[in-house]
Order: sequence, then C-alpha cells, then structure tokens
Amino acid sequence: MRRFFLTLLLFGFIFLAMTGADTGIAGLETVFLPREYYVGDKVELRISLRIEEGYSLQLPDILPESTWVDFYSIEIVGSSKKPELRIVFASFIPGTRTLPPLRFGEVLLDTVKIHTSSLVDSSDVDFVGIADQILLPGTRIIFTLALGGILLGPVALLLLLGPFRKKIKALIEAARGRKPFKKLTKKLKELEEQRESISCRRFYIRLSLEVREYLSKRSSVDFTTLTTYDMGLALKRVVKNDDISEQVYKMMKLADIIKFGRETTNDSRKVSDIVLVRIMCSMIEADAGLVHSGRNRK
Amino acid sequence: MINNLENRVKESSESIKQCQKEIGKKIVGQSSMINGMLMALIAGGHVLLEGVPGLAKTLAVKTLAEVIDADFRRVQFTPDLLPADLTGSMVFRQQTGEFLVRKGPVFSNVILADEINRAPAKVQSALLEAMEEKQITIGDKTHQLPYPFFVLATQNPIEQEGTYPLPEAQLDRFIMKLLVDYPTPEKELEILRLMGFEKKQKISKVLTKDLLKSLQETAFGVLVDERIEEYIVAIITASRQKEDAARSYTRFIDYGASTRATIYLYRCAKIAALFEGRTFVIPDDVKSVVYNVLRHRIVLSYEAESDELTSDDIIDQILKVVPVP
Repeated sequence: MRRFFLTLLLFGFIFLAMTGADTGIAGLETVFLPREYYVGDKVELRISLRIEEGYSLQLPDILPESTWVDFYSIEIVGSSKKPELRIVFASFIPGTRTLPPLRFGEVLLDTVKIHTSSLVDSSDVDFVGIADQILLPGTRIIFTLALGGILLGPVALLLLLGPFRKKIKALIEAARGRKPFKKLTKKLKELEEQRESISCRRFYIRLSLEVREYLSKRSSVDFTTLTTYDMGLALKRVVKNDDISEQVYKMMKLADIIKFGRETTNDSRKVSDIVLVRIMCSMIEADAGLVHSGRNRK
Repeated sequence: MINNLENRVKESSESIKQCQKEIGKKIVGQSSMINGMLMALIAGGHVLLEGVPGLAKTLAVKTLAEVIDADFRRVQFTPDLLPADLTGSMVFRQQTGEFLVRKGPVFSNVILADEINRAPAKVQSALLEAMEEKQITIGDKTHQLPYPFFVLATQNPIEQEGTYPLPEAQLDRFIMKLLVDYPTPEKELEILRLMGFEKKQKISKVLTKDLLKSLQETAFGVLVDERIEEYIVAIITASRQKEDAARSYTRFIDYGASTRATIYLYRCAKIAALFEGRTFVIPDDVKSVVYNVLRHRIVLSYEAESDELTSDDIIDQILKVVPVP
C-alpha cells in the first residue's frame, strides 16, 4: 500500500513537471537587427518559431513591462506552423540577460537571451589622456601646404633666380671684400683731419692699430698680435713691393718710439705716413684683384 | 732727466756689449744663453740652465764668473749631498773649546749648482731658500749672503733615473729657465777652430760690482708705458684662463704663471730694452724674454704631454691671442 502511494507520488511529480515545463515551442532561431546594439538603442528581434502540434500563437493584449527593457511593438508574421515574431524593444542594462517571459496565448517565450553592448569600455583600464583637438576638415591640408611653401619656397626662389645667383654672390663677396679697405680709408681720413687736434702718441696708436686690423683682414696672419719686428717679417709676405714694406716697417718702428718712448714728430711726417699707408693698401687691393672707385682715394 | 737716462742707457749698453765680447772669447755662439745669464744677473735673479751634456753650460757660467769681479764656486749636486755641505755648519774647535761657523760654498757671489736635480729635496730647498732670502742661518746666527749673489743651476733633460725633479714652487724662484741647444754647423766649426787645441784665453773682469749696481739702477729707470704693463698682465692672465673654448690652448694648461712671473717679466723686459740701448720698453722686448721667464712656470696638462707639446708651444699660442699694444 505504502509502495503504491510512493509510486503514485513519483508519477504525479513527473506529470506536473512535464506539464509545467511545456512551453509549446519546438525550436526557435533569433535574429537581431542591428546585430550589435547599445543601451537605449531600438532593436528588432526576429524569432522564427517551430510550434508544437496543438499550440497556437496569440498576440498579447498589452505589451509587457519591465524595469530594464521597453517593448515598443510585437508582431506575428508568417504561417501558423512556422510563425515569426517581430519584437521591437530597447534595453537599458548592458550585458547578457534573458528577456522577461512573454506569453503568446498558449505559448510562453521565456528563454530568449539578449546582449546589450555598452559604449563605455567596461574593461579595467587606466584613464586615457586628453584626446587631440578636433580640427576642422581641411585644416591638415592647409597646414601641409603652408609648411611645404615655407620649406620649398626658398628652393623654388633659388631655382627661379638660378641664372642670377652667381652674380648676386659675386656682388655680396665684392661688397664684403671692399669693407676693410673702405673702413681703413674712412679712418685714415678721420686721422688726417684730426692730426693736429690729437696728441702725436694718440695719432700713432690709432694709425698702427688701423694698419694692423686692415692687414689682418687682408691676410691669413693676425697682425694685431704681432710685435713690430714680427710684423716686419710678415709684411714682406703680404706686400709684394719690398720698398713699401720696408717703409711701413720703419713707420711702425717710429710708431713704437712715439707710443712708448714719449717722442713726438712733426705734422708733415704724419701726413707722409698716412700717404704711405694708402699706397700700401692700394697695392694690396690691386694684388687681391679688388678694384675700388676713385672717390675712396685721395 | 730723459737725456741723463739716455746717456746712462748708452753707457750701460756699451758695458753689456763689452761683457758679451769678453764671454765670446771663450764661448762661441749660445748668445741667447749668455744674454739670458747677464739679464738675470742684472735683474737680481737666478737662472736654471737646461741642456744636454757638452754644450758649454758650465764653461759659460765659469766665464761669466770670470767677467764679473767676484768669487765663484761650483757645487756638484749628488744624491748624498747634505744641506750643511752647501750652507755650512758649526765646527767645534778643540783648542779654544768654541764652536766656529764654517761657511759653505753658498757664501760666494756666483754659484754653479751643477745638476741640481741629482740632489735630494732638502738640499735643493736649502739652496732655494738662500736664493729667495739672500741669507743663511747657521746655528743661532743669520748671515747675509754677499752681493752679488747669483745662482746658476743646471739640469740635464736626459738620464732622469734617480733624479729629484724640482717642484713647481721651487722652479718659480728662478727668474729664467734657459734652454741650451746645439750650435749651428757654422758655429760648431768656429768652436772646433777655437777650442781644438787647449789654449788659455785671458778674460778681463769688465763687470765690477759697482758697474753691476749701476746697470741695475739704469735698468730700473727704463720707462715702461702703461700699455706695455697691460700687455704683460694680459699675457700672464691669458696663461691662467681655464676651459675657454675660444682659446684652444687653455686645455693644455693645468696651472698658469704666478704673480712672481708678472714681476720678473716686467723686470726682464726693462733689461731687454737696456740691452738694445733703449730708454723705453716696446712689445718686442717683452716677447724676447717671455719664453725664458714663463717656460718653467706654466704647468702643462696631461693632454699637452700626450700631444707632445712643450711650454714654448703653449707660450706661442698665448702670444697669438694677446693683442699687441
């Protein structure tokens, strides 16, 4: 008797389980449009169903409600044996979840899982740096063109001026080459004008300094660091005329006597020394192939 | 005043020429060494002579001593020499029972310290102290050294084993370091003809103590323009520049010339002018003595030694950057 009751209870459970789990769905296929969707996106879910014999689908009277998903519409299309459900919904919770149970008459749909993607990267990452400034379309092209113009502009200019380049270079070099002579001429003129107003010592200090500076610029030797004796030797290499180089050397010796020995000399000697320096410079300029306009000469 | 100076300079110049002539009777060539020795004597300084053996260093010193009317002693520096051998010591006299001062060879007018770098540092110090202070203390009594007191030390640049190189501080006490080089073939031939047979040359004592004093006074009176003074200081300070990119030689110098070098360069430039019979100094005078005065005072760096540069090369580079007044 007891055994009979137990067997009955077991079969009762099995029956209840079988009847309770029966949803009327033999199989289903789901398609999401779009395939990937994010929180708040409207998604159309198409479910192709295979209904078991004896079951039929019925649209629910009212759309189901849920805290995390909004249903906008539900449609049934296709044949009664192979119907298709079209459910439009929007999910508000990212991740994979099961849709709330949906009852279509005798058929219960409670196994449909959806995956809502999130715009926010949920992986464990550090803060990223500030993104670059967003440029207006075309800005990069303008920048590239401007940079190209700056870099290639001078080259293009040189190519355009190619035929004149050598001439311009020669003119610059000639102007540079004339500079020491022009400077000396100017200084000699000043000295000549001031020869009576400044002391004899001051006159020869300035004259010897100007001569040294001029010769340094006109040769590879630094005359400003040469003593008078050494200068005498170096002058022979710079000034081709021995007589002039000897006279300049003697003038520098006299300059030493006046500068350091407190001696003096007369005005005519000062003038002749200026003339001597002018002759020497003219010779050096001529040897160097530099032609000067007459207004610089006295 | 200037005329008086001119006359004195003229007379002094003549006397110097006379000395050079007398020395020239025994020494052929080596005019740079002879002039250097005479300059140092007039400047009241001492000279370090460096040269290989057989270049008449000792003979030159002996001849100079003969020209000067003065005592001359030669001391051969050896490793076993003691300071007392040089300066003198107290000697006990048994007969009287007293200690007497026995003066050493340093109590002479002209001393030749031959191969000074062969004696230990304490002996070198004893001599260098005498050179600086011109007095010697023996026992508890200080003795003044005679006038003139002129030390000529020689050293050999080769055979450096077992020598005691003079420290920089002691080298600085020599007014000049003169390098004695081989004579030219022409001079060598002249030497051969003069010295081929030993013959006695009579040297006149033309440089008396009074004349030396007069030469020193005249040299003191030689005019030095302020621009020349500035030139001297510019040369010395240029030797002390450190790590100056514009002056490439600075990396070759560990220590530049001392203030004593400035004073000696100034004095020697005056004497160089006197030698030329001039009453004033010109840059050429400074340049003519700068090598002798500075070469032992500039301490070269390892870099200079690895590049086989000498002090003279560095002085050359210094002179190339210092503007001449």
